[in-house]
Amino acid sequence: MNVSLCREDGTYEAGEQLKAKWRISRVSLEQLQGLEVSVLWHTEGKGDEDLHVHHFYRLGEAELQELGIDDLQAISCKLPLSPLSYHGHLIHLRWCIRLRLFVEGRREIVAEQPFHLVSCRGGIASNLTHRSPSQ
Amino acid sequence: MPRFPKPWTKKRGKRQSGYALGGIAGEAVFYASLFFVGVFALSTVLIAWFVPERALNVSSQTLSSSLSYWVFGVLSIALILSGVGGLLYRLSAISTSHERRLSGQSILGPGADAESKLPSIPQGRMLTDSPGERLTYRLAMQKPENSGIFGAALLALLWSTVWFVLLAVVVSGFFYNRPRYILTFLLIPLGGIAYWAFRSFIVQLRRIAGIGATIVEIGDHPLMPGESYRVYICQMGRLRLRRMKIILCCEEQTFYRQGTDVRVEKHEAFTQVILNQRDVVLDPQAPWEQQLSFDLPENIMHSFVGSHNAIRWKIIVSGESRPWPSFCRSFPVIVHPPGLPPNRSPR
Repeated sequence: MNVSLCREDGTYEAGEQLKAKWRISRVSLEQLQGLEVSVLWHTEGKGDEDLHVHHFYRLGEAELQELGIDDLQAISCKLPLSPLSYHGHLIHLRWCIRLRLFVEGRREIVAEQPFHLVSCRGGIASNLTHRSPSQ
Repeated sequence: MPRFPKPWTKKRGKRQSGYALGGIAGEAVFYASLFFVGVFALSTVLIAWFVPERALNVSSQTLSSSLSYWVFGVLSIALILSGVGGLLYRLSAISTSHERRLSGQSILGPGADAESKLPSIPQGRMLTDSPGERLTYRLAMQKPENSGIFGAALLALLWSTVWFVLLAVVVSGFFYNRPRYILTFLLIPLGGIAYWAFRSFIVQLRRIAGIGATIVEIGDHPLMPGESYRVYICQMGRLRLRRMKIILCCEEQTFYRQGTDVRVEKHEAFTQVILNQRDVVLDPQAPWEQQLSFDLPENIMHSFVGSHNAIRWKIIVSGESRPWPSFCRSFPVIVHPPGLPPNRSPR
């Protein structure tokens, strides 16, 4: 499976439209049983994971047969205003498009395409240095 | 061969061994036993007290003095209360699932509103429901420091009362030529604990009495990166501070499970010193007041609350003092992502 974003730098502003394309390859159409597409954010770091699915849809076996796997398929959704991507000391907040493919034999194949959700003024939030009034 | 269900469960990582219902039933039986033992003991004490001629032989020897009646009576009541409380708590777990009970309950407390325009950002309505005298909003303190004094006062009072009652028993024993040597020796460690509890109470009382209220007001809320804000600080009390510091701080908080424990880790991701002043004198007639301003940098993370992770912003007022204890008070603020239209307050 591969997922490609409409922007090379993978950076989207809050509230913007996310557009991406996905394609399944090296798997025969008969083996496919279902596919889940989600746009989500999750945390990484020392704490337990928080995960929130912003956009989700599932394609069943019949829908996949109808769509076929030869063509690129599109995903589109409006991104929320928050939470923004963040790289901190204890917490990393990452946005991604996650595809979960269900194939014969109860096997699952997962593919992720991360992207950055930034503020309207741009820039990924990160932990800054300490400042004093003179600085 | 049918397996006998275990009356207990054990947590192994995220998995639980045994049957959950079996564990609840086992605990319910345990608490019910506590209750019945308590009822039996209390009945024995009451019979020995009111109808001594019908009391059991054991109780007539054991409950030979008035003190024994009281000790056994209090223990019996404690057993009954523990049994009833535990039984009710455990039985409540049967009617609702674990997930249902946890739904809507974040470890970090109430935070973000999922239906809001800014998901995962706390709305902070409670922070701005109080108008300020000098600036628009008076910020609420995170945790009042004087909440701990009630516990310390209660502990000191109860422990000292118990100690004086025991002292009276010992003195009366010597007076009536029935000395209680074991109780006499026990008075020494019990007195030490009473002294520690009383000293802890005095320390808390000094802190409350010496350091008065702290008022923090802010010109606008929620905060937006790249903007400037005015803040008014007022510190009351009667003491001399070596240093007074006002800091804007962003703290990362994570909660994680280690075995069956829930651990918290905090990290100050960003601190900005708004004021750092030496030798501050607080006078009850004229409180220390300052009107300051600070700039919030661009490219900072907004406030965020998840189930196990949070990013919290706060203004910290801390004072370093001798011989009074130092103090540190936090006033949470909410930071929104940049580029949003500001919230217009009717104030």
